[in-house]
Amino acid sequence: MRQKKYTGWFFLLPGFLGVSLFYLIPFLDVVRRSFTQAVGGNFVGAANYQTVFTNQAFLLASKNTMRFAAVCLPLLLLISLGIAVLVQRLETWAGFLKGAYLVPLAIPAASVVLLWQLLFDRRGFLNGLLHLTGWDGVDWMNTGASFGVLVFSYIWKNLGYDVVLWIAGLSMVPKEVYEAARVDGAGEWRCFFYITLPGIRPAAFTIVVISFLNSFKVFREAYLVAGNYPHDDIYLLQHLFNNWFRDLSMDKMAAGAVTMALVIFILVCLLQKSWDKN
Amino acid sequence: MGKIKRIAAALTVFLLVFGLVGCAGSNGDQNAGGGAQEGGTDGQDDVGNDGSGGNSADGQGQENQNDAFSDGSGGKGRFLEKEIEFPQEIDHVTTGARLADGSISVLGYNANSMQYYLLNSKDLGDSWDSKAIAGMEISYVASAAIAPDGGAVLMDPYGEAIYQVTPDGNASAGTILLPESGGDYKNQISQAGYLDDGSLIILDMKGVLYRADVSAGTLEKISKNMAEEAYYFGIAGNCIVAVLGSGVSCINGENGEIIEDDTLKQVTSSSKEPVAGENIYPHLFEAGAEENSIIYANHEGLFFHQIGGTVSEQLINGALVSLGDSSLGLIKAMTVDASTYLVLATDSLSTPRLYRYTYDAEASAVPEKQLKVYALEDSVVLQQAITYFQKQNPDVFVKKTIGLSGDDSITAEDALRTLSTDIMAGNGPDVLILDGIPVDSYVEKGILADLKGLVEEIEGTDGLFTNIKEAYMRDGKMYEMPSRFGFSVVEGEEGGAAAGDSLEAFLSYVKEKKASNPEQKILPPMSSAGLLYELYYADSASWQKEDGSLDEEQLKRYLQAAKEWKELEAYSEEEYNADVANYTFRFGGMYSSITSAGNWRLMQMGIASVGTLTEIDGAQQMYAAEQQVGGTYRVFKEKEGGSFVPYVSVGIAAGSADNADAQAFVKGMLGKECQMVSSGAGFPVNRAAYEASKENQKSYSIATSTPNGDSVGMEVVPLNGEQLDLLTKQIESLKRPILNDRVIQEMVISEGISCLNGDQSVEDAAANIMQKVKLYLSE
Repeated sequence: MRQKKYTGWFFLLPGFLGVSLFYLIPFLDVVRRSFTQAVGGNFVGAANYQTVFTNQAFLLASKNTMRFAAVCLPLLLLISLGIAVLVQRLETWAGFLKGAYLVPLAIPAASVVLLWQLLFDRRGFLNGLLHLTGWDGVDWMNTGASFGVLVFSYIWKNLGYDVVLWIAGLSMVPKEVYEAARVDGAGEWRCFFYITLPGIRPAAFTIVVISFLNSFKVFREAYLVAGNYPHDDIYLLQHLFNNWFRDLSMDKMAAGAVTMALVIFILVCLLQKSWDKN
Repeated sequence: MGKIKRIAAALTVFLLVFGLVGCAGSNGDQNAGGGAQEGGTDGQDDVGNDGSGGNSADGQGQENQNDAFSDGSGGKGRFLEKEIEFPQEIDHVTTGARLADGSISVLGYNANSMQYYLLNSKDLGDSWDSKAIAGMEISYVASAAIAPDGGAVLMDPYGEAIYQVTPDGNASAGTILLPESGGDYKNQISQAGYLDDGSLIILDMKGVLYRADVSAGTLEKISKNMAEEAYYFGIAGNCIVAVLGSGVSCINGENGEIIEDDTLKQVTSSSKEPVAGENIYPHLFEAGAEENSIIYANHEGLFFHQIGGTVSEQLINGALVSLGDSSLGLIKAMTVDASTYLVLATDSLSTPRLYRYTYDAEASAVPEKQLKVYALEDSVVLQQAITYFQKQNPDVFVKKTIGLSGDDSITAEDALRTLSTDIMAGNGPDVLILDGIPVDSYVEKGILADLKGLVEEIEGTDGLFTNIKEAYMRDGKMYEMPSRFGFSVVEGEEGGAAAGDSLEAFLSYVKEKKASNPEQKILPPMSSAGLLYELYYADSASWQKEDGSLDEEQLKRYLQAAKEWKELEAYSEEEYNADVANYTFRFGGMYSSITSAGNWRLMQMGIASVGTLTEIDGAQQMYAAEQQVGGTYRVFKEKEGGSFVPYVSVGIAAGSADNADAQAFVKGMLGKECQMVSSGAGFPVNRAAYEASKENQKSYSIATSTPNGDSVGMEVVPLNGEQLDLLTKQIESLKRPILNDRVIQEMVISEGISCLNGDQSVEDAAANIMQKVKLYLSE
């Protein structure tokens, strides 16, 4: 009995050791560094946090990162859920569409960037179209339009993945429940609100968390297209950390990273709590 | 049974986890030691030697030497260098050879008396027997060769005056009739050499090799089957080692047959063409000590190759000896025996150099101490400093790491992040070349040591330009010091030069000129990037406000001036680029064109220009043009005190502050001897070196043509005392460095190009720059 009690731990151990070695222990080192000087390692207390919280670039990047998540997440979740519901109802083409939606994930970032440049350059395809239709061109990457471009890119890239996750969640809802509801006279919307949504709630938590974490990966495309210093609206925390690393500002970077990790942790905990409550 | 299962499970877990860690560690090690060999996966190009005493080529030519320093335990045995002195009367050398009797012969020259000498040494250069060549009527020898018996042949370019010289120095005239070139130019002899059997081989301008008989005046084509032209050649016994377009080929000198050797073919992949008329070659080929073997020397070192073999063995690593100095012009390699080689060369001041390399079985394969030097970009100035240091400190190995090697697509940002990782891991360099590196951030973090004491020591012995030095003092300390610098000048007719107090005044003057004579070319062509760089150097020193932010109005002025300059002349972008490619040169990663401004005026393609003056030779050219077409030059913004462009700024890592080698390196780099070497990349900061460079001015002619095809030329002569005094005063008047922040500079140039190309207005470009700079500064 006792032996069986510990068997599960043995299975967990490899993963846990890996995570500890590559994530937890380095993160603890980052926490330590957030209280020391960049070079030399002298203890400076909370000075690095004070510096970071009064740093204009950090405040701007934090604001943009939160704004980006706040705009993108609801959009992505709603659109992908809608598509997932529609795809699940299709009797033909469903398999093909599932695959097709995953294609953007398979496209390398460098190719996506090339596409961006072709589309959104000052002399790019979109501006060409606008000129043809008599409109003035837009400097997509050097104006507020860059935020829209970033949101579009994120949704385009992650839509298929979320659709597949939603479909997996939808398939967990027993068909018999729908059939019984319809027999009782429930319409499509009632089925959706009273059967589908409650049915996919367990899956929704995972999808929200994954989509939230994926929103940080959009930096790669933004960096490759607009460089270290893009337009103010798409200057994200990763830009800042990247530049701090270049300038050897490990102290600020560590404090910023710990703050960011804490915020994400708190958000995920709150989300979990609200899920459990519901 | 259960116990066994548990042990097996625990073992599996252990192996899985530590196997993964082991894999990661193994990759890390590879990157640390051989990243550059694998295509620069770590974004760095480490140049050094593995101390193995010979690199194999695996049948693909010489192996890339980019490798990490070994710990010195790689064994014993290394070729040590000794520089050989020439007799006092020799100030230039043309060629050399090892004679059949084993002695060494060199053809020397004295520029003052215009006298050629045949030098002979029976003790490998420890003493010389010098014979003045008598009976010659030409003073300029285009090519020459020394015969195995000690005689020589000296010839003018056209083969019309050829002198055969006996071993005792008596010349007799001969002639050779070269075939017609087939074009509208006269065919010329570009190189000559003797086979071991005494046959004279010459190469003409068309790249055809001939066996020549000067007494009979006849020529016989060597290889009738050779379809390709030869750029230059070397002689290895009776074999002609010719550098062709497709690589290096061995040609049997007796029957003209090409000997297939795929390894040898790979030796030259770039810079095939030698320096015209100077008898300097990128690669030297010579017979090896063993039968049917050759040696070849270049800036990477000296290599041994058995003809037909599949490997080349590196005998001498260029990075450890003078061969690594890229400013050295290689003339001739000579084999004495398997343990002794000589290389004849000329330095950047045309001073002849002869190096003797002798194998020392007791010397460690590589020096046991190591000094790490990091630079974002390589430069001749840095390489010269390394070579100088290496000569002074043969027991220290200098490991040069170049962030942007150019062999990969690594960006400056990537390279700096790799440097940050190295520094944080405690593997940082001892000496940093700070061009392009965020110096302010490094100073703030305590990465850099105070150089004040060291710099003041140099100032005490040689003197330094105080105004340059003072510009780098921060609260009584000094963390960086440029080794060279340039400064912006305005050059042209009197009115144009006088208008050099601001970009607006200058443009206003040239616009007025253009209005009065629309047909005349007013400004020389410059590419958008070239123009933006030049005006950045001229104007950026005053852009920064006290709080560190940029003045947007100044930025707009600058962009407006660049735009107006670009629009003033109707040069197409192709014309700009084509012309600029011919006439501008890179000054430390920065464009500079002022030395050719005089040429433009001579060519009637401009009346004035703004550019960066980087050496006395540039001033010589401007004065030479002024002799022909009038005009003058002045420091740009002279009234408010000009600015200077620092180049190859050096700093010492704080962790190496007590490292005597790091201090010695910087001391050498800023010292007179190293700074005296002309690199074309800036004035020396060392006062004594600057004074010495005044004495090393050369005279030469420049010929060019106007757009109408009329030939024009000018005689470039040494500056007189008055001109030199003015130049010195100008340098001393420079007050501050330009805005020398790579990130800001890149933002300005990038947005500026888009503005000049018409993609955005001046206002939009300035606003975009301001937005990005604000973001950068707020970090």
